[in-house]
Amino acid sequence: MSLRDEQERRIQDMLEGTASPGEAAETRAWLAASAEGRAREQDLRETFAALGALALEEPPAGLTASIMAQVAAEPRRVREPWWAAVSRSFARRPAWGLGYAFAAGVAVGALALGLATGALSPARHADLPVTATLAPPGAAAPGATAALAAGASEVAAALWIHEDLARLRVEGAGREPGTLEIAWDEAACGVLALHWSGAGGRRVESEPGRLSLALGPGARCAIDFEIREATQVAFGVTLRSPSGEIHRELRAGAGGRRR
Amino acid sequence: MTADRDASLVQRCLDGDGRAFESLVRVYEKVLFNVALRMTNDREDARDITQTVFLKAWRHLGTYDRRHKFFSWIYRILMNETLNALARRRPSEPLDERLVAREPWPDERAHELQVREQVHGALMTLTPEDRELIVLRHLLHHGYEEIAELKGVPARTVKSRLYTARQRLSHALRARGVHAS
Repeated sequence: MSLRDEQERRIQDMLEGTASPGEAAETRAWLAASAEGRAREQDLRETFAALGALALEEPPAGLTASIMAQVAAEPRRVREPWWAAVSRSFARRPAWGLGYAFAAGVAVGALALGLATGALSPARHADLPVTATLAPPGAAAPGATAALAAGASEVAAALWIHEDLARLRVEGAGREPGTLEIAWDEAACGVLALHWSGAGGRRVESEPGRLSLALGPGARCAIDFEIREATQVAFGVTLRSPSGEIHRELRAGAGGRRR
Repeated sequence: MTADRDASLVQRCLDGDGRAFESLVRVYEKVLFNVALRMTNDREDARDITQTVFLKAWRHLGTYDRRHKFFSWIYRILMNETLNALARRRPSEPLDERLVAREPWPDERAHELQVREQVHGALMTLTPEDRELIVLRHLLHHGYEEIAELKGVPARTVKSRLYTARQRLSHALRARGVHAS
């Protein structure tokens, strides 16, 4: 097609319904006289019809529950930063700004005096411990653990059960990345979410009852499962590396919950 | 009305009401999931992205500037996550055209589904920027002004980019032999 941009735009406007009646009439008149234009119009008509076939799909079942489970597992409550609340207060009552400014001035003066007289000395803060981002919700100790080593690839796996949720956490170690295949009974439980932490990990493929992950050293993945119909959940984990393969099974009681 | 509802829900979240956040999730999860789905063409990725987006929204809700729409804010988180996910992907090999079914489809519904799949595939041949505009306009049915607000560019720029995006999509569809009508 060698139509000028302007002609292409007119056709698109007409088909999209954003052209004014006058512009649309003008475009139709031009199309009546241009075979090339009519061919392009037909192409674009097909494109608009194809775009009309796009439709919203339903999200996976359990998505809301999974999101809210993650939110509930968050260690700290969402809070508004102090400056946002203060600036809103000032916006409502500008006179408060003067009061705050005076109080801040007094505080800074007192601090400066304390430092100058040695009454205050800057303290060094100890490094705060960094907590893992993949801590399971609720349960304190894992129901089952396994250490897998195949060649230079190593994976540590732990399984927690908490109410109707199971969390399987796997962490790559060793010197080489490996592929970890996880298998489970889809009738007993289904995947809700994968949470990644650290670098060097990715999902290779997945299907109901099976998940394959590439795990490099330091990569961590927590997989949340919704327990459907089971008194016990079991996961087969197989670690493969170029120089070997090892299989383990993790089992933990699920309390016979029925959904 | 939407803005008032969202502002009220956000305030309740900030006051520690988790149920208010669940309401926000229910309002926006479908739209966000669908944007992620059409951007990645992978339901698993779209699900992961949607979850991450809401978790980040929860963590950073305190930094949300209420002068702007909540959707604009969470949409920006979504696009960042989506583009990161696309960047992490290994380049995939193009589908062998001989593997694409050429048999006639049995009924109208099946034809519609086939067209939809072809459009999804054709969308993936576009740049993420072009794909995003197509999704906003033709899947979410946003107006040019709304898209301009989301993208932070003038409406005439949106319109101009959409012309080009549709042009490219048209060529991709023609190359696939798609006939929607």
